[in-house]
This record gives sequence, structure tokens and C-alpha cells, in this order.
Amino acid sequence: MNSQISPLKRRELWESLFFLALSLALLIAFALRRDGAAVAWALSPWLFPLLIAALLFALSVAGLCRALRCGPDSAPRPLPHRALTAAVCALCALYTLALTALPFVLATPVFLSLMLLLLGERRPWLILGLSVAVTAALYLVFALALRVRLP
Amino acid sequence: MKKLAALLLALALLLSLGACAAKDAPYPSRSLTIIVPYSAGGSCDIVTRQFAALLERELGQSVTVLNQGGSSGTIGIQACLDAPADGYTLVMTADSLGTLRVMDLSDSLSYRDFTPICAVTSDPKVIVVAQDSPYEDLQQLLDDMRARPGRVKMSCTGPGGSGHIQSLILNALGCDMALTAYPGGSDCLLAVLNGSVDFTNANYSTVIDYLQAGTMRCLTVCGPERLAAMPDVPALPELCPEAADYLRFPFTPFVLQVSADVDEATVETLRAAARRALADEGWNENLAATCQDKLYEQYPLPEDVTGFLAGYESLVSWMLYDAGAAAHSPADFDIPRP
Amino acid sequence: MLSFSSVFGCLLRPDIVLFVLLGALAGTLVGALPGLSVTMATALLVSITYSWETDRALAMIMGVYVVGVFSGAISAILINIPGAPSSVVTTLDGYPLARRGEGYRALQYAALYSFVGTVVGVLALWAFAGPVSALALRFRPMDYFLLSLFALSTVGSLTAKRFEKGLTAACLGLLLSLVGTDPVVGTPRLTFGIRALQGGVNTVCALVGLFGFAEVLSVLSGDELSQKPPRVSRRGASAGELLRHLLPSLYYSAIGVLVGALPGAGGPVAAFLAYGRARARTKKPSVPFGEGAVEGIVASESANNAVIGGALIPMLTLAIPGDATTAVLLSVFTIHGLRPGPTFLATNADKFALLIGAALLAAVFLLLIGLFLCPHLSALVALPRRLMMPVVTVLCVVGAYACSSRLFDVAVMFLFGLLGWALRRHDYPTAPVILGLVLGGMMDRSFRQAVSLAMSEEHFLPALLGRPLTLLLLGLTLLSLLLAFLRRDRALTSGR
Repeated sequence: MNSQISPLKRRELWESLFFLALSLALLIAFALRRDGAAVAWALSPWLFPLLIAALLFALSVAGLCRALRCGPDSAPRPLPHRALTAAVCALCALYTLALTALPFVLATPVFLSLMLLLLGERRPWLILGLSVAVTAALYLVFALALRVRLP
Repeated sequence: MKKLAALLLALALLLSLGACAAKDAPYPSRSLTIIVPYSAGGSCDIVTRQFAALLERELGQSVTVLNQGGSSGTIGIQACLDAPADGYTLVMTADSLGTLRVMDLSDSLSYRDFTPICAVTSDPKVIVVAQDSPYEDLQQLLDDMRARPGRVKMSCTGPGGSGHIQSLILNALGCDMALTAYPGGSDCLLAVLNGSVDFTNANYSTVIDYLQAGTMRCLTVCGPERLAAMPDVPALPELCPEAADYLRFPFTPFVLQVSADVDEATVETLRAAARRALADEGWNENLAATCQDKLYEQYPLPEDVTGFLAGYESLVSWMLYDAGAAAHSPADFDIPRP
Repeated sequence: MLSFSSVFGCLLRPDIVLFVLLGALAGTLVGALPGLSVTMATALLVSITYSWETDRALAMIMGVYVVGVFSGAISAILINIPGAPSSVVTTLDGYPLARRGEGYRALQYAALYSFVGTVVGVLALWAFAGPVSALALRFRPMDYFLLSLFALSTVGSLTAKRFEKGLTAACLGLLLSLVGTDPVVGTPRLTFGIRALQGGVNTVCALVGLFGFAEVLSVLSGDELSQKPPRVSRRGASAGELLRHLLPSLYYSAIGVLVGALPGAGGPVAAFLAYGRARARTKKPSVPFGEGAVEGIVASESANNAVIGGALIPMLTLAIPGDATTAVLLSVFTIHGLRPGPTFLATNADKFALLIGAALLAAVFLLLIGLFLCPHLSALVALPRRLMMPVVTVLCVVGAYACSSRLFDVAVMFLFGLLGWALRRHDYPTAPVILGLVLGGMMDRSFRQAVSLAMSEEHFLPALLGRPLTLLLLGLTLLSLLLAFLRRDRALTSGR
């Protein structure tokens, strides 16, 4: 029974430990800040963050206790498409970078086409058509009708 | 794939042709944007929108007002500098640009990064109390502040804001009050109305209705002279002559500016259009009714505006630094003492 | 008080009806697109309507406002991306319904109860503007702080599984809300030296990332990409089923009006509070909360539309906006030469009547659009996800950029997306993060304002807590926290 439960329990444990570490780090960082020291402690900009970090600490301790005592209450979810997700994230980062140099109407159809290809779409007319149509529609709606700036 | 490449190439060609065509046309050949570095609904926003409508008529191109508020105006101001310096992006600056560097809100933003087109208006600052306040006139308020330092409560909009600066002036007159910061001008008024604080220093145009309805009373005008709309309300220098030295500058100056990199010809076109817009009758009547200072009459020439902004920056930066409210010394930025 | 004829008289003008309709249609579009908020649309309209006749400008803006708040629910239900922070809570029960193919039903509830909420709010504005405004005026900083605390205590009720996870998510939201320049002292907090962060984290960018992009990532990394989309049921709810919740919705609308009347609070807070109350009150929901209970949609949509009427109260009587959109509305008034304030209702009765009439008319359009457009929109859920996800991503990017025209915000949005995705994978709810983000600034500021005000009094603690309203709120908050804590223990021991 132990070997069945421990990997799962470990996940909940790690989560609580993560938050514990985070809240400790924040607590220390906030308590040490001295700017804004010209005002009373109650008015210091670091009081509220300190309180929140303390709450987080208490919550993570409670979570830790629970993880150690009871069993987990849900199975870990599998991650079947790791490579795909990573690729999409990379593509989005590239898209953002591209937008610093290229206008929206050029970068977007390229991004859309590439993303559709990544997701497994294979019909070229659909890829092209959708990319251009969506870009055009967005341009019309945002830039012309609503006069909102596009990147 | 080939089809995609061809389509993209065609698109690119079309767009670049369009861009070239736009560049050769005389200024202004497309719509302009005025950035308001504060949130919508504030006095800067309102003045800018009214002015933008007049400017639109004179320039013949549409003028859009864009709100990019936050961080005491740094975000909007930086956005204007980040935009291409072709004269199509302007910004309406207020008081905060003078103190961004000493208040550590920006490393380098200052009035020197911009060329002023024209100074527009300034909202007079007045001290108001609630209807049922025990203070009947200004002298009672000042005496109470001197008698009970740190006990009379005032609301203001945060460090470096115009309310804070007004409080520093009062401090220089020997009056110490307890300041509480609120997010915006209207919240400061709310605090006075519900009795949380004893008084506040507000922009006149925001309190006109309260004064008329009687829910608020005005004790004094923090400026060199009385306002035409309130002939019985004394100006601060009448009771405290030392204040005259501080109050020689308008404290909420709205100035329309462009990036300093824009060429002279474009700037001149804008200035001429602005001058014509400011001559509009309806605009002037409106300003007279709300007792706004017409800065374009006080500082008509560009050199006047630059001189005024430099003087203002120097006065306010040193005031903030001497009071311990500023992170950096104005001397670090070569700002001379007033 | 205004007479019936003055309010409904203005509806006889065809140009007003037309402009409200135009506004309603624009509002549907704007509200439903993630990243485009009603506030932004109203700000745009200010410039566009500048030269129009005042009545027409007001009519159009009210159309956009009323319908825009509702249509945030459309994307919230159909694609789990709220169109605005006010619609966050609607995703909790709306999206599960859409996933089961019952999106049409969910939208019907949303439309009907948005209508009810709007009407209640506007009626409150019409009849009770004075008393509500006087009540709202009595709220001092400490009361705001306690109210926020109370709202946060309802977070516990949002998580079926673990109380701590919901609160942890809220804490994250609170921490993130503190990024930026401290409003009281002026020092930058948590900005790590990045100037672009000095303005803080934009709520809309966070919303779009946390819900929009995170949703894209969830779908991509899960099994849903290859799954067939659910079969969309065209069978809507019957009138009887729909109207059964009318009475509770009046209660939720009242919450919305009151929260709306408090400057600074706004739609998301009202929706969370109402949802919390719904969970507390409803012993036997049709389906467990969080899995498609329509009671949740009723609560959230009634409250967030009632906020409209509520927020207009301080705006018109005190010239102090109740939320971000009314702040922009205030500038519209001023530009057209109107000056809201204590004398407004008396001297501009005709404009007041127009506002109310336009709002009611917009509510009717909302109902029509909601009931008749929605069956067609709900078919969107049936589109293959492979095609939807890229489009949604681009929408997220445009939405994030549209806030302040900075690409930095787009990067922030993506980061929030990653955060939201990570949270989801570990069963942490994302809705409390938004609540924390919305409330954090207000809580911090109110607390310090309260302390600052009390410090200059002779007796600190009585000055801080001594007023009847404050004590009442303190009692309510402590009670709510205690109950939530006890209920959590009960859930534990019942072996769930």
C-alpha cells in the first residue's frame, strides 16, 4: 500500500513545500526592507506583503500537515503532449518578439499558419484562408471600427 | 508553402507602398493622437478632450485622445517618447513631469525631453471643508493646525502629487497637519464629505457644484489672487504674506507637448493651430465660468513656457527634497535652487 | 422622483432607440471578445461621440455599458475566457455546462438574470439614489478593508476540494496586486527594478492570460485536442425552470447595487460576494456548484449587472465614479457640459430620465440579443478545437495589447497564462487569483488609510473600529471566516 501511495503523496508534499519555501523567502525579504522607514510601522509599504506572506506560510504548513497525514485526493494528471506544448510556447515567444519589429498584419498570419501546422492541420487552403481571414477580421474590427491600436 | 510565401510577399509590397505614399504627404496627413498620462475622467483628461476637439477643427485631421495612466504619468509620458518623432503623437503633461526624477519614478524623464506646443490651463487650488465643519474661516484652520500639530487631518493624492505639495507649503507656514493619501482627487473630496478628514486642497473645477449646493465651503484660494467667482473668499497670501513666494506658479499646469526630436516645421504648424484653437470663444467662456487660469495668456511664447516649466520644476523639486519626501537630490540632476 | 412619463417618454424618440440598439450591438461584440473591456470601449466612444448631440451619445454609451457587462458572460461560458473581470465567476459554472453541450441553456440563464440585475440596479438608481448614496458615503477606509476581507472569506466556498488551495490562490493574487508603486509612500514594490512594472499588473492582461492562454495550454496539453467537441443541445430551459430563480436573483441584485455604489469596489467583487451567498444559501443545487449549477450563473450575472445601476448612483450624485466604466462616463458628461454632483438630479432631470430610460431599453435589447443570438453562438463550441485555439491565442494577444498599447503587457499575459496552466494542473482554482488581484490594492490602501486616520486621534483603537457600521462589518467578517473554517472541517470528516 505504501508504494502505491507515496509517489502521489509526494506531489502534494512538494506543492506544500514549494509554497512554504516561497512564503519563507518572502517573509524574510519583506521583513528586511527598510525603505519607507520614514513612516511608522503601520504605514510601511511592506506591512501588507508581510501579512500575506505570513498567511501563505500558515496555509502551506496546513497543507503540509494534511499531505503527511491523509492520502492524496486526486491522481496526478498525465501530460501527453509535452513537446507540443513546449513548441507552442516557443512559437508564442517568437511571435511576441516578431511584433516588436513587424506590424500586426504581417506577423499574425504567419503565426496563425505555423500554429495550425503544429496542431496537425494539413489542409493548406484552410490554413492560409483562416490565417488571412482572421487577421483581416481582427484588423477591421479593432483598428478600423474600434480604433484601437494594434501592435 | 509556395502559395503562402507568394501571398505574404504581395501583402508586404502593398503595405510598404502604402507607407511610402503616406510619408510624402504634407503634415498633418493622418490622424493625431494626444496621450493623457492619467486615467479617464480626471481634470487633465477633460481639458485634453475639449482641446482636442478644437485642434481637430484647426488641423483638419482627427485627433484621438488616448489614456495611458499609471505611475504618476510615467507610462503615458514614456509612450509618447517611444512613438516615432513625426509629430503625430503628442502628450498633455501636468505637474508630475517636473518631479519624476527626484521622486525616483523615472531615471531621466523631465520637461527637457519635450518641446512645448502651448501651455493650456491650470486649475486653481482651493482649500475646502465640509458643510458642518467647525472652521468658519481660514484663520481658524491655520490657528488650529498650529495649536495642535499633527492632529488636523487632510486628504491628498499621494507623495509628489499637487495636494502633497500644497501641504508642504502649509508646513513652511508653520502648520503641521496629518496627511492621509487617497487614490484620486474625488476620493479626497469624499473623505471630506463623510467626515474622515477635516479639509483638503482640491482643484477648483472639481468642487464648484459642492460649493454651489452648500455641501462644502471654501476657506481660501491657494494662489496669488482671489477668484472672480468667489469674491469673498480670501487668497492665502492675504493672511500669510510668506506664501506669495511659493504661490507664484500655477500648480496644475496642463501643457501640450511633443517629443523634443520633432522637427521645427512640424512644431510651428502645431503651434499655429493651437493658437487659433485657443482663441475659440466657447472655450474661453467655459474657462472663465470655471475660473481656470489661462496659461496661454500668462505664457504666450514658447520661451515663456520653457522658462515657467524650469522654474516650476526647481521650486517643487527642492521643496520635496527639503521636506525629506524625495529620494534623490535635485542637485543630482542639475536643477538649480529657486 | 422622476415620473414614469419622463423616463418612458424619451423612449418614444426613434433616434434614441436606434442609438441604444447600436450601442447594444457594439457592446455585445466588445464584451464577448476577451481582452476588450467595456471600460475601454466606453473610453473610445468618448472621442467618437464628442461631437454628437448629448442625448444620442448617452444613449449609445448606456447601450454599450449594459450589454457589454452581460456579453462578458458569453465568452466566459462558451470558451472559459471571461470577457471582463466581472464575468470571472460565471466561468465556474457556465463553462462546465458548455462542455456538456448545454451552453445554450447557460446563456439563457445568463441573459435573463443579467436583465433582472440591470433592471433592479436602474430602479434603485431611479427611486433610491439619495439614500443609497448617503449610505455609501458613510463607508470609511476601515469599512472598505473589512468588506474586502469579507469578500475574500467567500473564496473558501469556491473550492470544492481544499480550502487552503483557494486561499493560496487568493494570496498569490494579493501579492501580484502589490506589484508596482506603493500609492501611499511612493516606493516601488516587487518591481525588481523593471520600470515597466511600476504601473502594476494590469488586471485585464492577467485575466486574459490566466483564463485565456491558460485554457489554450490546458487544451493543448490535455486530451481534448483530439477529442470530438460535445454535441450542442438545442434544447433550452423552459420558462418555468428559468423563472424559478427570480426571487434569489433579487437578493443578488441588491448585493450588486450596494457594492456598485461603493466607489472602488465594482463588478468582480459583487459577483464573488453573490456567488458566495448563493453557495451558502442553496442547500440542494441542481448540480453541485462548480460543475454546472445554474444557481451560480444566476447569482453572478444578477450581481454584476446590478452594479451598473449602483455605480451610477455615486457618479451622478457625488461626481465620484463607482467603477472604472463610470469614471469614463463621468468624463463624457463633463465634455458635454453636464456636471454631475449634488445638484445634478435636480437641475438635469431630463438627462437623468434619459439615462434611466436608455438603460432600461438596453436591458430589453440585452434580453432579446441574449435569447435569440445565443443559440447560434453556442454552436461555436462545436468548432474543432484545433482551429479555435490559434485564433483564441491571437485574440488574447490583441486583448492584452489593447489595454495600454505596450508589448510588455503581451509578455505579462503569456506569463500569466503559464501560471494559470500550472495552477490548473495542480488543482488550484484560478478565480481567486483574480479576486486577490482586484482586491489587493484596495485592501492595502484602505488598511493604511484607516491606520493613518486613526493615528492622529487620541485613542487609536476606538477611532479605528468604534463606529457602528465598522463593528457590524467586523462581526459579519469574523462570522463568515469562522463558518467557512468550520464547514471545511465538516467536509474533511465527511470523507470527501
